[in-house]
Amino acid sequence: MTIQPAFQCERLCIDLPGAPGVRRIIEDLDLEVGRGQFVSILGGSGTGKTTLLRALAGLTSHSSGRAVYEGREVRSPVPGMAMVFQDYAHALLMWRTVRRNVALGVEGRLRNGELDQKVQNAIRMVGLERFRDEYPWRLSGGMQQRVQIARALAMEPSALLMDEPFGALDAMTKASLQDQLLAVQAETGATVLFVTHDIEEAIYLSNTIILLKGSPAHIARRITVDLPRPRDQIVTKELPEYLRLRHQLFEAFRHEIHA
Amino acid sequence: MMTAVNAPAPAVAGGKERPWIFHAADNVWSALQGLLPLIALLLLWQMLGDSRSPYFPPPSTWAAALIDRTNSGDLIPAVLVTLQSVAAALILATSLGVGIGGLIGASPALARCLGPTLEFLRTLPPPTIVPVAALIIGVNETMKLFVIVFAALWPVLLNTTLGVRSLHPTLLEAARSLQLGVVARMTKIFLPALLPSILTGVRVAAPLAIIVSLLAEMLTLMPGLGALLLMAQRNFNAAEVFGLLTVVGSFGFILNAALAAFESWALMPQGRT
Amino acid sequence: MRSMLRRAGGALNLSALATALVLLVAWEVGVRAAATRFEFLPAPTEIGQTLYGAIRSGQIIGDAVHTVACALAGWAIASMLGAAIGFALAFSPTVHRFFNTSLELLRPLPAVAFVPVAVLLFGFTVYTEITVIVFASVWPVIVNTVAGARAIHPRLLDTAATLHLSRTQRLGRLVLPAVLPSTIVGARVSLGLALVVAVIAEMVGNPAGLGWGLVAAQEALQPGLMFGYLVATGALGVLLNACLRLTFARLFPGIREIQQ
Repeated sequence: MTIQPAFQCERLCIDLPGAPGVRRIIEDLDLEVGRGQFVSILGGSGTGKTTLLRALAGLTSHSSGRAVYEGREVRSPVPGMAMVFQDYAHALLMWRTVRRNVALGVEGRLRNGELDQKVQNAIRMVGLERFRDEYPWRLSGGMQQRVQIARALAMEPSALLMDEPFGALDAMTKASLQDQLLAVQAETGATVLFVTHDIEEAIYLSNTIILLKGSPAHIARRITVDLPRPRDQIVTKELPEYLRLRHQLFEAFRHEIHA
Repeated sequence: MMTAVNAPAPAVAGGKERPWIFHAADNVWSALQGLLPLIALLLLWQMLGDSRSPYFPPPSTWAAALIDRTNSGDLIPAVLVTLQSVAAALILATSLGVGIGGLIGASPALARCLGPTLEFLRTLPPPTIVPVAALIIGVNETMKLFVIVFAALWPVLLNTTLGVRSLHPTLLEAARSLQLGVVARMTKIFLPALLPSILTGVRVAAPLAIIVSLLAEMLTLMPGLGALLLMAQRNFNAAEVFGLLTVVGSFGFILNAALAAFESWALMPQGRT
Repeated sequence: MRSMLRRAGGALNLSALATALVLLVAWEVGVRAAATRFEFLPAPTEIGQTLYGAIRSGQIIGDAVHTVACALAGWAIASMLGAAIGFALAFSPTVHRFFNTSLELLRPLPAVAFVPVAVLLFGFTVYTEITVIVFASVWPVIVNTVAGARAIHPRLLDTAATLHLSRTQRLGRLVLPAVLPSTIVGARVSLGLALVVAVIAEMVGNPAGLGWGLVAAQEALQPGLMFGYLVATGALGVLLNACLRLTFARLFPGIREIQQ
């Protein structure tokens, strides 16, 4: 018996309205993501990485083909999935404290004691215990992004969809949040779909990297990352396998980098 | 790594800490300095003015006139009636403005249909509506409420529309992806996010509401501060006119201060004040 | 602010015209069928006819000329006065210290409430009207001038220092040109206000012009004429604003806020 995958796309096509009319962004895309996998979607800017993620999240509707999550066709946001956006400043409610932001997706569905416990747990996983009664606008960018991740975690999602979540952060903060994300995934066992344009970030985090290319976009390559876990910012990044993958991926993007 | 960059600001910036009482004293002193010319003018007026002057009666006669009016039982009910009209109309205008403005902001089709008609109604100066409404609706509370709402509606409506348009798409998508219901989206996301725009509109609307309320009372002699003012003028009671002018001024000042206080209280968690 | 809804709706479009037409026809039918509770509500066609008649007889034109003349006169005085007060407040710490709070206290005084005082002093005359207009429309000019002076970037003053400009040179070549745009923007806001306040003053103070015409039509129970005055006043406001926009854009090609 084969195990049902978490995500599945069959001949998925997505069209979006543009200035000169409808434009095809994604064409005939087939994809399967197993449960508990960490899959990065990598591509140059404007290749449709975010569009693909949004379609899987049910925020953008596809024109033909199938997008399936846990055996259910995705047409609108589905329970069990949580999304983390790149611009945390607009995704958080600035008038709610950290704790109440994290509670937003689960309050009203749980009893008070249970709610508190879930919220506390999510805040603990991202290490924000000291700031849970602070307002987001008083926190640094990295901490605001942690709040958004905690908000997603509080829903105890079986899949976490992240759209360039660390794209707006500085290198140090980024490294620290990457490690925290890996720890969270190890603890919760959630499937993660991670959109990024950062080659090294994709290698460091993933089991599998999906390379999107072309217009309309298709999967150019699917790369399995066989690096030992837990990963480490210094040790992992000096492994020959890491360097080989890095070389291979930069080679694949060479024409875009020099363009 | 884990330090809060803009963390809770220390109460006193800079090295020197001075007891708050000195700051308070400074503030009071600078406010008093600012009032000096007005106080001097009033004192001079009091000393040089002739209390029988039909044009410039000194301030003490204003106070006497106001006390007379209070004793005869006219002043306080008039203030309350005007306040009640203005407050009721502001509440009504805010709910209408937020409702209509929200719909227009959210639906481009509706904005296309209604925009120009609303824009035309908006160009009518609110005071001109008063005589028209008095003739069509009749001289009654409904008419007064209608004309004040007509004046106060536009700032709220426009600010709400703009507020809806400037809601960030990510906020709307976050609401969707959290699978919040319609009611939760309204009360937890949209209304709080729009609150600053709405309150700005109300602040602009309040002085307009006062003006139109006074004008309606003057033109129709319905009870209220406006009618008292006009009657005092018709009786050539200059002291009472000046006295009532200070009452009307304080009325506007206090209403504005109350709204400002409410605004900064309501927006405190948003860090926008 | 004024054009926000218009911009929102785009230019005049078919659906907007249709909506307006439907509303007008509903109004007309409602009045003709006597379906409304309002016995004095005239039909749109009646308003149109009366308005046309009042324009041909010159009645509304004369009233409009009076109102516009008073509004412009009051506005001109208010602009100059406001600029002077604004500059004094902005550049003399002493003036600011002693007068700011007093002015802040006078500012929220509703213009209507000022009418009875003006009537006592000047009677039911054009002086009353102009005084009230000046009192009401001076504030935007003052507020904008002060705000403009506050907004002068420190770098501009550093520039002045490095260029070794004298005090008068600094004022004439840097500070005044930097503040003037804000003053002019304030003056533009003031004109709209001046027209509205002129109408108010005519309703309860000076029996002349469009405001008085409106009240007189109401008291004479002539709803058609009254609505005619209403439409004329609204149209005049739009027209005046458009003229001012064009004139200012011509006169001050260097001010970004005015070139829209």
